Amino acid sequence: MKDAAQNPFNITKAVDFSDQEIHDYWVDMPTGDSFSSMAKPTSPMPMLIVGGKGSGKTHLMRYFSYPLQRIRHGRDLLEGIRRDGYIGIYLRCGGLNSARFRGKGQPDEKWDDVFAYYMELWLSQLVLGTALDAVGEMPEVLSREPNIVRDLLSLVDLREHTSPKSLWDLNLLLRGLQKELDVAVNNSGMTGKLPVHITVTRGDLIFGIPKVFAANLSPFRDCLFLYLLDEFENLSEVQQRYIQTLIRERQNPCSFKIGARTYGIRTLKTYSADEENKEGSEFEVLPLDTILRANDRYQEFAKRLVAKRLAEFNRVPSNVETLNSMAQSLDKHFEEFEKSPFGRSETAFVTDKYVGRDRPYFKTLRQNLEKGLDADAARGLSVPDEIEKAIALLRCPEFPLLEKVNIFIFYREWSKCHNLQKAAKEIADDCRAFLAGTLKHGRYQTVLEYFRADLLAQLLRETDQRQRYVGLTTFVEISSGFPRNLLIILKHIFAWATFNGEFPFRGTPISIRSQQAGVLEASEWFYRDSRMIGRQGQHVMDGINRLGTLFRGIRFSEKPSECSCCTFSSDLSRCTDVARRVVDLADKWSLLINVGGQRDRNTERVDAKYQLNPMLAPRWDLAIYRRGVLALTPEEIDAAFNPEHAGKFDEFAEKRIARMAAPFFGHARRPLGGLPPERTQSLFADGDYD
Amino acid sequence: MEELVRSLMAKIKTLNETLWEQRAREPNVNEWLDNFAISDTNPPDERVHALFLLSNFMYFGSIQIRELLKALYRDLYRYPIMEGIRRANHDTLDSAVIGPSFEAERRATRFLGAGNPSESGCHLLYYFRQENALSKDLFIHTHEIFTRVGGLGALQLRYPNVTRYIFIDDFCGSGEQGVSYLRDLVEDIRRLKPKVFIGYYVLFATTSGISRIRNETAVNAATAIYELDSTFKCFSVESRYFQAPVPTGIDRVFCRQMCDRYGRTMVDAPHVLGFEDSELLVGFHHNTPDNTLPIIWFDGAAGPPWKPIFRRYPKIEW
Amino acid sequence: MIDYTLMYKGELPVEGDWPPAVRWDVFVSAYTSAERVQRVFRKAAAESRHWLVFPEYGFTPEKCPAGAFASESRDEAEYVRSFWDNSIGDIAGRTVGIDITGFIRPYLIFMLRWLAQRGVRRFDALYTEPVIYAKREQTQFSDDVVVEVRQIAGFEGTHSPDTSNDCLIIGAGYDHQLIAQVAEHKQFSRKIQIFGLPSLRADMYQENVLQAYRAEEAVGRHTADESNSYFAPANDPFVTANTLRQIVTRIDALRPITNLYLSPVATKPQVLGFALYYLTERLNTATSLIFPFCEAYNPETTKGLSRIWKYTVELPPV
Repeated sequence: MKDAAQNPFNITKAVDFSDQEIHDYWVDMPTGDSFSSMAKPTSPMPMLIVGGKGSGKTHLMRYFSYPLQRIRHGRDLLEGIRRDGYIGIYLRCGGLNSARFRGKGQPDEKWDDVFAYYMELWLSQLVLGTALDAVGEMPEVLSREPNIVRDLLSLVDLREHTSPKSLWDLNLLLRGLQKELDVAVNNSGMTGKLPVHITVTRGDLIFGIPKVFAANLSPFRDCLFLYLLDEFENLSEVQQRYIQTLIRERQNPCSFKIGARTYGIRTLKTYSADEENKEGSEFEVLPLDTILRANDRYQEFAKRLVAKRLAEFNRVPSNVETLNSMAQSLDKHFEEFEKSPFGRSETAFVTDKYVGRDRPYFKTLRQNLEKGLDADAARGLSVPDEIEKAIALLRCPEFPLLEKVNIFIFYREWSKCHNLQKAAKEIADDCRAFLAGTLKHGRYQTVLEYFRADLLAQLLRETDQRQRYVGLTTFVEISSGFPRNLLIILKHIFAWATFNGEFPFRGTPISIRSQQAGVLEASEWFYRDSRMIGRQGQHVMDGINRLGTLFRGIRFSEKPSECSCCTFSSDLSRCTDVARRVVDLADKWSLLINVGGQRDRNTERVDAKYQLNPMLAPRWDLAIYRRGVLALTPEEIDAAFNPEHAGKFDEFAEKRIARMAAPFFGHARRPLGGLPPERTQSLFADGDYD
Repeated sequence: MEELVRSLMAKIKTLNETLWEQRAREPNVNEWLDNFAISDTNPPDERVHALFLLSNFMYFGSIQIRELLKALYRDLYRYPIMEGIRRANHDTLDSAVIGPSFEAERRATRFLGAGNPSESGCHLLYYFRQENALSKDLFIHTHEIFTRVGGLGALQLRYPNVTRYIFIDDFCGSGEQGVSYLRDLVEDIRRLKPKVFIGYYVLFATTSGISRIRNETAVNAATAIYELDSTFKCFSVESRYFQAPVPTGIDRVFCRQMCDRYGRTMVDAPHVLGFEDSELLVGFHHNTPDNTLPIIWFDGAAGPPWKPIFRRYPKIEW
Repeated sequence: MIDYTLMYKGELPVEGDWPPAVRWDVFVSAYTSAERVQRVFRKAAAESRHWLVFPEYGFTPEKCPAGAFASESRDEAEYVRSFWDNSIGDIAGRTVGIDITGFIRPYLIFMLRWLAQRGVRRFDALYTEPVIYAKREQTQFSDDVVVEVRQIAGFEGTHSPDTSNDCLIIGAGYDHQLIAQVAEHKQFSRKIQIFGLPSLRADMYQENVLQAYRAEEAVGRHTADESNSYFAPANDPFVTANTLRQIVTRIDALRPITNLYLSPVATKPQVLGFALYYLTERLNTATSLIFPFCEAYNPETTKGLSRIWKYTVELPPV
């Protein structure tokens, strides 16, 4: 029954780690920008650390928090803090339970004041407690305590409360004031009254306590008091506005790092003359998963993360060198498909399954050609015999992949209304030459290079095989800058391997089928988990579903317009507001990943480009690697993402896919039959290959 | 069909990881499925039906059984006594009053296992005692209920001050065993002490089985933690396993015929679909009752070679 | 320290009349389409009977019973206060009966606080079960759209900025979305799930675990090891309250809990237990009851009435 405990990837959320575990499992970027240099803990400029779920944001923030400093520096704590140049005061906004600061028959303005006061008491307890924990035993503190207490008390309106004599007592006083406020707030729901006496002016203690400590105690002399506010998304808009005000009115020696989910920043407005904070002047942004994704060492980093996890689990010591070598050898723990020329062994399943039988794609081709012949829409073919001849030319039995290439090019030619007999012959020549190695670089190579993955996917589908998401490198790619997603994939794979009677990471590689089952389960989890709080969640999921279906339709059509189609671009400025908002939400919730396009921070995006999160790829049998980009019109975006236009989506999709389907490829049929004149250049772009 | 198999396997994997104590890993499941014939091309498929049945199997592991034993003591034995004490004392909640009264009642109670000492009901007594932190003195064997006057004379109660005899059991299927064990015993006790309380408390019982105990013996109370009504009878029309929506390709009648056909090679009628054709799908950490379909537990020891998935530990008749 | 399991509980007959002593001055029930809720309302003997209509059920005025109290307010404090001031008034010396079956949990929970605040020291809670639960493990009670996770009014506590040993205890039901949302909301906390065992039906525990598995990533695993497996009967508020106390004491002994969060998203009797425990032992501490609020709930069209439970809840003075 201890199975769960034996899965090394079982803890996948930072929040399930103890402080000690964060320390033990910490992995930095291999070279170049370390997380410290990215997060700049000693910079007085406030920072928004923004990332999707599983980007490692909390992990990072906790790493800079005081409890981790304490573990890192051990006995040399004060010296360590001095060297660090900062002390990290970590706060989870969720702990405020701030949803209760509203309604209950009280005016909004009153709640604004209550919340500000509450934050003041909360944060000051934290900073006081943290500082005391660091220096409490120092003789210097004991001697300077009266001064410090006096300076701090000057900021508090004590009224009937007894004057505390020591810092510990001061902390207790603050706790008592907070409790009083809690009771008043909690009872107001029942009594309709909210009696509050605000004893501190906003900001006075938050900035005052660090100032006083820095002035009086040597360890804090040049120390930055870094408020690490995590789970920012748990605060309402007005509450966030208050924090933005603190940021704007920041005083030395304090600074802020705000940890928020991408969808979690509700406002940049402040209460300082209604000014809005601007990136670059009041704060900088660290978009964590975007950075990880763009970092070309991400694969390496991710593999080291996995290696570290295994090392800790197996209680094997690991320094940087051993970790590196472990990371490099991880791939061999996963069974993969053998690579071979022209994919011969990768497509062995086709040759094996269809011994003495017609391969499914030829069957389909024949049916299409027959239909085309009947409708007089197959230029160059006039009798059924010629169909067989053409098909025979496209065969290359030893290499099903090349047969697919041949057929793909054939469909392309067909869609351009070219002479099909001629086309088949040219393709056969190209194929022969290609096999012989004598073909000059041209369309044949291009098709194979760009469409290999799609053609293989089609082969798998046509022969009722599962799509292949296999190998550690693939899993890292799927995680797309979210380390947690990688660990979840591995967790499921490990569980399936164990269920299947295998011994993962202990010798024989994890079987392909265990990997596939695990990836599928992780993908299902991701889809389920992406349900958001609120009604809009449904609109987003509907849009994602439509997109996924469209991409799949394209991928498995006879003549896909884009290769590895999992990305779209569009001029969103011409879409409806609603659609734009839904797309934005999908981005913020990481269901879509923004992968480029021109982005101007202070105006509307002009041409956006989004990839469907690869974690969702298995759901629609899509590609992982980004290549072709599907250019969608604003109307199509509206149909996909705006519920009021959704009725039109199927029509749009069908129209697009019709252009890729034999025998008509979307051409209008003439009243008396026959085809439009032969074209040398197709009206329909064959897609731009990124 | 492949999709159905995939989803059934995924369900079994989940059950295996969470509740089934690793007793049904994929190699075990496949080994068991190999017992069944592969259908040629057309459904219905024996193996898919077997997998479907397995995915509906109810298993209670060691942790769960212990919890149920706690519930048995707490809810079936203790609570009624507490309630009585409270009501007799003006609904008091004062533990200073209730505590001693309950203690007195408990001291005058004896717990016994229903059936032969080696049978699973008795096997559980140890855990029952442990989980509820009870003194050893409260547990006796059947033969310790009585003693003979002067060693050879008339029957009398060994512990005349005992006011409650509680019989504990894990499973009551048809009620046959329970009745045959209890009927005369209870009569004998009552003859010697008419007002004594005799209770039969069982973890799992079929509705018909527990009714038999109530009707055919003179116990004061026969109660189960879980009563299994006719909806737990696998192939009955009301069967909870075949209520809509049933997955495509799964057919109750075919399934029954399949189990019947295999069952016949394993046990004699009328136990082909579980003892007295109970048609149950339930098993425990310590035992799979023979009321469960034989295809689940039959181990080929006396019959055709068959690999069980949840083996049973049979009662041996000497 | 009070023993919650001493509080009276029992069953009322489904057919036939209830004992004459079973009557109240004020009887309150939450209106749903479930047959049993309506049947019990008709059977209940009371000076005045009151229907509550909750906005989440989406009943149009024509569908509501005559004289029912309805309000658009989704604030549980406002709703209950408004109902009480309008329809009940002074409760001193009057007896109260509440059928909790159709209640949406936050309203029920707040109602308990409200009663305690009004000096009610004891009231009867009724809970009924249908004959069959529709669709077994697919049964969906809420519409899955969680609007927000927040504290329930009256159960908000005075929390500590020290969050180093926060603990979240979830009464885990079938609705895995709710479990996941609550767990995500209090990500940084040790999470413990209490499962209903004994469950209402023999197969429901396993189904419950299967459903909750889908929330595993957010909340961890219930059966990972013995020290994490906690149970309370699905139909017993008092054992639930006791169990909560045991869990909290145990964790606290290892290392003091900094903030305690309780979230009952399982059966109504368990909800009652959570609220009772809170009011009796956790008021004015760093403890809250939190809940994933949904926009809409399925007003349930189950048929039949199989059991009626009656719990006599003893509230503490607040």
